[in-house]
Amino acid sequence: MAQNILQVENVKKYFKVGKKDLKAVDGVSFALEKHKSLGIVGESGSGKSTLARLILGLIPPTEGDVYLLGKSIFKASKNEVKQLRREIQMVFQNPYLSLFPHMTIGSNIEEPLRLHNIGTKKTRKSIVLNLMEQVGVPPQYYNSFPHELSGGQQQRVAIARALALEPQLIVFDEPVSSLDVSIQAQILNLLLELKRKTDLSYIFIAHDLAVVEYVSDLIAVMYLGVFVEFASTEELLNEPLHPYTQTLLKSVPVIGGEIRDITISGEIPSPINPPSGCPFHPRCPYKKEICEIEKPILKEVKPEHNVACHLY
Amino acid sequence: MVENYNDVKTINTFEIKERSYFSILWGRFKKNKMAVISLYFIIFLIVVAIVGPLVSPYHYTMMDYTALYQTPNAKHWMGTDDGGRDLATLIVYGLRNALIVGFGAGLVEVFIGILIGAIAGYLGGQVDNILMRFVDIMFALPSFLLNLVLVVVLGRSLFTILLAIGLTSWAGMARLVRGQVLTVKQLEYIEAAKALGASNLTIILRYVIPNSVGPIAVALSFNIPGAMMMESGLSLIGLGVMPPMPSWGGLISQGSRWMLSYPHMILFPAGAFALTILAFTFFGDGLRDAFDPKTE
Repeated sequence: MAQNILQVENVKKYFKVGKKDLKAVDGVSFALEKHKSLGIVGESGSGKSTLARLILGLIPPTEGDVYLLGKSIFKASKNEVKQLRREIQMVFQNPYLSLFPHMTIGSNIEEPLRLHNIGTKKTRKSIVLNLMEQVGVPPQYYNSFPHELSGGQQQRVAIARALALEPQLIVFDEPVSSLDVSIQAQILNLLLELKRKTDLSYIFIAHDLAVVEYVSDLIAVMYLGVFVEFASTEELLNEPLHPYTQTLLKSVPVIGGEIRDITISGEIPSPINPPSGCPFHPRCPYKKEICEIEKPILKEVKPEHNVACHLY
Repeated sequence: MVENYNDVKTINTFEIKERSYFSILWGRFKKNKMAVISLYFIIFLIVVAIVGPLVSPYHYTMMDYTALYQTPNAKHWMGTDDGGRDLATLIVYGLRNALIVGFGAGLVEVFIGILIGAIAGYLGGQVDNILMRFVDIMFALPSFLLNLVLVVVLGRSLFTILLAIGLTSWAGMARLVRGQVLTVKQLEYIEAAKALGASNLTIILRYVIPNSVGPIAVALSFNIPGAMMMESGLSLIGLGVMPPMPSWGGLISQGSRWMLSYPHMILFPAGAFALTILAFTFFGDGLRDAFDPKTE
């Protein structure tokens, strides 16, 4: 427990839609060790972003708890929460919307330091310039405004702002999906470099498995608010167990590879009206009788390889 | 090569240039010529209102029965009225009162409007419901009538008039602020601010209000002339500032009585009034352009 930087225990988040519940996150548990990176993949509507906001403590869970460095972010006192905020940061999908539009790049990166009363005006400026160098934003942008920068540069600034408090964990919520492919690669390399140089842990959320596998030690596959498979990156890529993961992997195009049949059909069901039993059964090619009745739980079938499927 | 050298130089000056949000706003504002002229005119009016009474050889109480109904001349630039008072001096004092009422009422309006609007918008739910129903009631009451009642109750000084006008005209501002706060609140950078560890109060003061300030400033620049009109309206029916203190509404109503024989008595106050209102309106237009990023 002590070396786990993050412990998520059976968190659920239901949103009220009319009289029904929208089960955005329906019971997720996992632990993340220090200096590890976890990738979470899933289609739109699978609850990835809601899970990210729960981990950050930005929205209260319907059930369950999140422990950061052994402390519950939802049960901590106001002062403790402010301290915990220094240890966990988030980078959002759209950097243009998440940077403060009325502040310069310099002030944007300085803002977390100011909010936590770190350093003097002078030392903060040198911290900011250092951070800008670290993420590869030229210093002449110090006095520019977010709307004057390109999307890639904006995302670098957002990363610098998240790094300013020297957190132990950063949650990236689809940080590259709004960027061009060449810029995506630069940002991903920046993440790998940061992980190599510092003892940062991070959670990387995306809908693109190819992006996630590049930057993650562990991968969790999310479907309708639950983890259906959770394994080390190598394990998951070489031996995907869950039918959903298998189809996901098959859908990743390979240069020079043959065109393969994609066995998945249809769309992700509505989380307001989830299917009974296994959430994946309406689309599963290996559906059995039990799949319609009983919801499979995530269990360890091999070392470092968990799957929620009745086949195993 | 010379061209290249020039390129490098421009990039360098760009690097050094310190820039603020204000300089960007000014860059956009500048493009609207009428607004810039109006801004200078408003500054000129403010200077006149401050300096005018100090340098004028006359006072608004000084009657001169040897100089009644004079048309503009070297001694009395805008002529005199039916009491032989210097019309230019009266207009300058009237200007001073109009500005005090305009800005004062604007301030009261913005203060109440931001307070109610920001609380309702940010907290939402039941608080929002109750506050906004109250705003609806304020909207439904005819403000001129409410003003009359308030002036009668509070008395007829400059301060009570601006207070009354401010107290009866904040409903629109509150609605505007609430709408702005609702829009800004759900933007991603507010969530980012929460993740950075900012408290609710910090979020409202540092991120929500600065990003809602544009529409508020624009609305204010249109409401200041509105308050001036309201004050003139009150003076016109004899419920404005207590005579002999001059007010534009009072001067216009007085001038209208002598309109046919001595047209200067209505032309000067009405002209000054119209120009002032127009200047504020044009200034508001420019301000709206400045806060609109699409102007560039």
